[in-house]
Amino acid sequence: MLSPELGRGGLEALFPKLAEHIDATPPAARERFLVKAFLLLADAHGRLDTALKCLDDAKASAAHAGRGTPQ
Amino acid sequence: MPPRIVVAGGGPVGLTAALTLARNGLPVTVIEADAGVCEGSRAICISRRSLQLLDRLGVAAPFLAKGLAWTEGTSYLGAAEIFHLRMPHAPEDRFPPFINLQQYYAEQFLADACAATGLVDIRWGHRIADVKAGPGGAALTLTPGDVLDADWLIAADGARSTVREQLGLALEGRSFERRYLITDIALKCGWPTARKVWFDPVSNPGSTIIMHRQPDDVWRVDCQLAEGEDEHEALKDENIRARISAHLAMVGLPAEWTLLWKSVYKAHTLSLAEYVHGRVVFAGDAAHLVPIFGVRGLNSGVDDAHNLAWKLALVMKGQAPPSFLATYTAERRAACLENIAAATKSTWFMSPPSPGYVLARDAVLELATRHPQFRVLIDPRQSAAHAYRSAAILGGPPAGLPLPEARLGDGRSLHDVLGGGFAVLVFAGDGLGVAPRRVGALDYLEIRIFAGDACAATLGAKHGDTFLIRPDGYVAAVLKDGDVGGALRRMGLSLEEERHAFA
Repeated sequence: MLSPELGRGGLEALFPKLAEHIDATPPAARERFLVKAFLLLADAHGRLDTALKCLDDAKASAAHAGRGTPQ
Repeated sequence: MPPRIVVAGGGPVGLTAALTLARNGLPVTVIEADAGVCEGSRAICISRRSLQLLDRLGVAAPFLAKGLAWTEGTSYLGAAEIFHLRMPHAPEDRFPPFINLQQYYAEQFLADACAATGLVDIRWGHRIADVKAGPGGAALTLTPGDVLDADWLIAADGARSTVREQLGLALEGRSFERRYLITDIALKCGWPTARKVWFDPVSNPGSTIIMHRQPDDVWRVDCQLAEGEDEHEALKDENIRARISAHLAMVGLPAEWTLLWKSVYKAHTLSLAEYVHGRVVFAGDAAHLVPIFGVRGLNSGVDDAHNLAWKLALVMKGQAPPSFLATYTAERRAACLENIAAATKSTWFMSPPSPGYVLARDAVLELATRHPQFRVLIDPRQSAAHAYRSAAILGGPPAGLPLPEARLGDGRSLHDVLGGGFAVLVFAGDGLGVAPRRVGALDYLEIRIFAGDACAATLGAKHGDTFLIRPDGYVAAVLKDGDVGGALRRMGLSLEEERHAFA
């Protein structure tokens, strides 16, 4: 579900920015860049429970993708 | 023949226990495997809380005279400062937050104080070959040969405790894999005494380096080894020289230095489930191992030793049943678990336990360069006193907490008049007075304090309050009825005329 605050337009605006930043970061530094981005976002948002849920959701979506054909 | 207390281990913990018992008039035999005090600096940071306890034992003066006080620290990422540590230090504090002092000095000062009592027999160069523990005590076989029968055995024989092994007891918890090379070097340098830490320094990329100044122009330099690095190679003098010289060059210190001592360290968070096993009681590293980050090893051991020894002294004098020692485990194991929780967080930064922790730690360090809110994560969370809950704490705030530093109306420190045993603070309408008192067989000191002065305000005391202070400086109870004898009985103490527990 899209966040009401961000909405489709917001996420569509964020998507290429995220991709461009990842592309602009040397491959060896990408992991650290993404961790820093996550920590800054969590700090700006200010809610631990939401940040932890985001981690769980991100892991769950990765696990789903790894299972093969979507149902 | 008087009952015998034997202390296994002549390090700071064992000697603190022995000195506390001797201050209570009890003879003690200490068994130490080494021929004298230790080699190398080992545990160098002595906390304000430990200094307060050493002061109660009358031995703080040489520590303060020789040790180097410090209140600040700086952490760097590469060459950039990312965190500045300032330890709390108020004008009324009698002691600095920390002093740096080589452990061999600490042991020597404690051994000298023990010797001066005439009650402590330190058997240097004796190993414990065998321990047979029973309901009435323990029989120890020593090498060189001798057999000692102990009514009580205090096991303060360190991380590789022979007593623990002989009793078949195991520490529970975890160990961290990454190791630190630990060195003492002789170096002439004008830097002030402060904790300095470099993460990922140019001199040793990927490593973490810690420097501490010690007395006698000795510096402690600890360097984290790379994952999988060969320990024996790292310990070779030429490799140490290359590693440290590169670092000294990076920070602009002289190239002339001498290696004095070297070792390798790995962090552990381990503890026994119970510290009292019949007549054998464990203290310090024999009871638990906590990471060095935050300097809780020696300092928690000194607190263990003092906590155990004043309670055991009451048991030996028949003023408390042996079951009173359950409060020792209750208080000090809870402190250990707090230490482990705090030190584990420090260890995430100083010795990250997995690639995920390395990645998260490095991300935070980089963020800290521009975002101050992340710098708190780099705070090493230095050792502090614990709040106790046990049968030896009767409640009523601030019971369960150590008595804070406070000045009496005549300018003296409250701690300077407390003495080494039980004390009672009576907050009254009249002025200051100090007098010895006795309830049943138990001596204590009564200190009358004007309820309107700054000392009462610092302690949060009201007119008519009576604070019962334990021999370790903790507030045991805040009494509204002033019934000191009743409070001591509720703690489980006997006020019968003094008799020998085992007579």
